[in-house]
Amino acid sequence: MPKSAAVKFPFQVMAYMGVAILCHAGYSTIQYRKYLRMVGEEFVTSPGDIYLEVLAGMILAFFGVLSMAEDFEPIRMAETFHKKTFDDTNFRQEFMGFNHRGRVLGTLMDAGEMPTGAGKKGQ
Amino acid sequence: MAAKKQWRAEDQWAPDRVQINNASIDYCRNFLSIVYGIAAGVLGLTGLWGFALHIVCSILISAGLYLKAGMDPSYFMSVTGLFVSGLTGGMGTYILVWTMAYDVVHVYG
Repeated sequence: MPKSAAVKFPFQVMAYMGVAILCHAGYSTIQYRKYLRMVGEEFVTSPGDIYLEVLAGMILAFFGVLSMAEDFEPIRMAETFHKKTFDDTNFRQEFMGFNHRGRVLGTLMDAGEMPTGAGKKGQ
Repeated sequence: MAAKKQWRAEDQWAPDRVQINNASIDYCRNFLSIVYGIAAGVLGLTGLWGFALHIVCSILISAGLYLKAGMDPSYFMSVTGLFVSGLTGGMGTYILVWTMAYDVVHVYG
């Protein structure tokens, strides 16, 4: 069964927050490079807090997306057979006839001759 | 050499369910390839470091998908296939987004 939007929503928030954190880390890197250009130094490696921010964004998105995606279904056909009921297998619409004793039972029910619990008009 | 494993009727796969599972796996892989591509670009990784990150992250994604299935191999056609196809499957998206993010942050930023 596909997941409902309410179940997915917090994980969607988590995943997109991860992407937003990564984009913010990118903006931080751009600002850091501007600062380095002003100071006159070469870009060697990002500062440590940007690494932490990128890691946080990656982890958040990882767990968000994996929880947000649809659940897996068992792929062996035999796995689904355990859940089938008798009605699933024995339902043949063209073979269903209605010319049987149930018709008389229906009129008895309406007249109130059936015991309570089975009749429409019984108490 | 051991005899070839007999195919039993219980082993038959339902193709529509395999398709549903593959759609879910592809969605996760694409989304996370984009995320890790942005990460690689932002960090300024070039060359082999970027590919090393791709291999590590692709194994992590496959392990995460296996965890999502509850460590039960009966949800996948083959578990080694899951890990191997992840390496090549997400590579295109990863390289594309990595190049884009690197350009935005380090070349034009």
